[in-house]
Amino acid sequence: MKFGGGAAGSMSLPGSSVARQKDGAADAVSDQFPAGLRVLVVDDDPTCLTILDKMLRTCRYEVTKCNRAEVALSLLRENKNGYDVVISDVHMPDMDGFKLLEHIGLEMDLPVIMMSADDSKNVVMKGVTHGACDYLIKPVRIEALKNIWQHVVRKKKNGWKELEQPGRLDDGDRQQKQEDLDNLSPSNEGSWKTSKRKGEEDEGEEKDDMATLKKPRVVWSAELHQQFVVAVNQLGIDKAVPKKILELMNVTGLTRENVASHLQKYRLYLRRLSGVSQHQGGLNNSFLGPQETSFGMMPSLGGIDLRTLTVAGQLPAQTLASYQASGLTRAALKPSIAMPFVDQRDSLSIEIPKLKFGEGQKQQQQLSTTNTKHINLLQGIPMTMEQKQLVSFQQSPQLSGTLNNLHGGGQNSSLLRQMVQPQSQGEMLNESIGGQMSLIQSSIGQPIPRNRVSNSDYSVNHMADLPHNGFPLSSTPVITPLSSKGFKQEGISSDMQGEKVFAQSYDVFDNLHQHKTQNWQLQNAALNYGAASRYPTTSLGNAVNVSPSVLVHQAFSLANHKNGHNGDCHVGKTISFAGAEEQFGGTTNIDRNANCLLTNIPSRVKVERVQEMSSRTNLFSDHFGHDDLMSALLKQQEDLGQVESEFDFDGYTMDNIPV
Amino acid sequence: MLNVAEAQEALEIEKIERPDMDLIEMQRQFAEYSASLFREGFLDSQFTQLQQLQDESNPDFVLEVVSLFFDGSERLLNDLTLSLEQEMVDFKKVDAHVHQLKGSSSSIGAQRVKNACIAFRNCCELQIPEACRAYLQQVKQEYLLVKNKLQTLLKMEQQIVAAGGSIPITECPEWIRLECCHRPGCCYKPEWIRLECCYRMEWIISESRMVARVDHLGLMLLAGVDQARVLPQAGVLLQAGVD
Repeated sequence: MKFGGGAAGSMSLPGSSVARQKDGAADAVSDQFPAGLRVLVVDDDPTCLTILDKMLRTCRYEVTKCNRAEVALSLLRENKNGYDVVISDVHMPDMDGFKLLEHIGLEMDLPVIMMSADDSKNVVMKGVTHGACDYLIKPVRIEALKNIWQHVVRKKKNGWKELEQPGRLDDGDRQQKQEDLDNLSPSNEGSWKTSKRKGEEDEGEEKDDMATLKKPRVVWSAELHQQFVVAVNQLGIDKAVPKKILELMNVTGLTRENVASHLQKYRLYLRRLSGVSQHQGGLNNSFLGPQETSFGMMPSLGGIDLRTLTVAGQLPAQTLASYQASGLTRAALKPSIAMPFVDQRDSLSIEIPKLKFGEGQKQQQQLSTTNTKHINLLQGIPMTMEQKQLVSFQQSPQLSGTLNNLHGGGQNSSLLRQMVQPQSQGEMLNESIGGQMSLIQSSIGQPIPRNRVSNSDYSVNHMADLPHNGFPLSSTPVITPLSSKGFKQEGISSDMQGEKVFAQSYDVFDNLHQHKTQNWQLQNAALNYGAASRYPTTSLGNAVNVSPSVLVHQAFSLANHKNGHNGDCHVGKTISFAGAEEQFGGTTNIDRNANCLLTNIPSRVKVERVQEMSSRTNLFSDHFGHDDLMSALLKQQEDLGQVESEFDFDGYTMDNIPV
Repeated sequence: MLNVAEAQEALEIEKIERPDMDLIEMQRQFAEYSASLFREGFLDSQFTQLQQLQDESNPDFVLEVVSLFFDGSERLLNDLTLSLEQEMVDFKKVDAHVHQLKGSSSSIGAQRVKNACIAFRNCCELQIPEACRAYLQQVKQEYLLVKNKLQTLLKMEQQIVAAGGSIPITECPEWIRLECCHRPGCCYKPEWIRLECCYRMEWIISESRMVARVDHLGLMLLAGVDQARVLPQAGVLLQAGVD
């Protein structure tokens, strides 16, 4: 019998269960490879899950679908060798796809393919660093799935090579590898066998006995991994060699090779963790860049490192420090203002146990901050520095330190500092973000006059068209790009009037989304808004009376992120899908009303800006006519001043605001 | 656009006169309708993939997936509406929802919904609730439209199957992405395309069946022919260069 007793030997063979019991059938199965490949697919979206399932079945794979990561993990743990490859979505509610990836990598060592609708470089890079063997972009096409078997083969091949280490060879493992290779690639059978044979010859003896019981592949369960981590911590990460770890762990059936490969993975994992935190630090330097590493992860700087490292329950400062040292070396690669300090700290941290107090102290004094208070003061300090502090070697408790230097060696108790750091970082970030935002907004102010002038020409002509165009809710929908990426918007608009007039009053969007013109609701906003306040007696009807207060109302409510003041203003209500119709139903001039509704948007935006930049001038475009727009906008400044004085932007009701 | 009632009526009439023309006619209409959906950008090639996945072992696959899509999307849209109505909008959550909607709509081939989601996500980055609500509105619009279209399409499909016929699979046209103007009246690449006057974010069918569509990025997509054509009615002058 080619394969050892069914129950005892867990199957790593791709193939139907029937084949496992039959000798001859095994060959047949292997001939069909990659058919029968056992795939576990994890995605919280039922639509995608069903589609993938069907596609994989069409590829003749054996598919198990799963919509939760926890369930997937338990499935994998229960059935250690029950799957050949895992496909997982990145964004899942219960567990991050990358976390799942790490777990699988550490515990089961299966190839994992990540999948997402997100194709940004950062996320893909994350997949790579976390060890995914592939990254698919949604929508996934069947052609992409046809070739996933290559990852299974590759992994097995590499895993086999990994075991090819001088020294003790494990019979069972070798047998397993041979058999796996046999079954995996019938088409390459020749080449596989040859290479296998070569390997065998190189290695020596125990290869031929295919009849021996196949040893199941070692699965690193949580407990086993725990023991491993304990052992590693005891030895110290630098001193942790597989042999010693093995001894410490004292687990029967575990070989040095198993430990070695696991250790390698573990090291990668740690490095990645500290690498991630370093990376985060680097990111903070450019705020408005892609922020996919959310600031929410900040606490992880202190948290994750500690948490993961305290898996064993004990975390000797030395070990922590040494881990951080390894992380620190990564940090050194990141360019930062404090580069020289980095180097210093590098050397500092490496000599962790040996650094003299005195010497350290001196350095610390130079580089330290006593309180996080001081850290907060420094807005411009790159986060890397903070991190350096975090990861840098912590020595003795105190340093009074001069405060000039922010680049603290972090002598304060590391834990304390780490806990405080994230917060301060967060604060700093927020402040900086705020600062940046206002910067952007101030720059937006510039082009407005320009736009105004040019736009005014159009507005007359197109004013009349407004009612026809459109109410976006009723017209054919138009997709409006609202990209914050650049100010260049390749927009197309059939409703020019909207665009122009809109642009005038809608500063933020104007610049950020220059051509956000298309029949977009917002376009009309400005128009009507202007009309509302300036021409109260126009045909705006109900809308008019309501709008000024509504708009201002809405504006301020936006400023406060409140939508609660909708009571008296039906128009100003959030554009909600269901409610939209009825809101508009009540007014005589539906279009105007619609416009009015939409004016909320610009006004809100503007008000927000006012908050940040009190110098904001033209908040409200109370202008309908093109000619008056200019003057209207100017007038708004006055109005705004008026309005402003009447409100504190924090929680108010706008019922009786004279506009 | 063919609506089911009209189609059915037409079919009824035909049935009386030419019973065997039934199926063929239905199939033709189905194909025509599919083609129009592709042309108008409601569906893309991913939908074709789904249709191709449907087979005897799984004859209701498309229906099943589309139903899942409807359910999921409606749930997401409701969640989004609620989220954006909060006093303190949790933009991360909003973004996560939109991301998922984008994923499912792209998996099913609902292109316009996907594009609307992309635009929405861009807006989310700005974290302006009102603007996000407006974009959400767009997404909802697109969703309702595509839902309507898909339901019609599936009904037609059912009729064909009931009549014992096979469902013709229409290939999604290959879209040629061409540079286009950033604003009306300008010549972007004279040797390629000259767009004059205003153009819509819709599709424009030329007399010669060249179809142009502008996507959410403002890029004009041309399908079919790449020869020079003139569209005086739409006020667009298109002279596609031969690449």
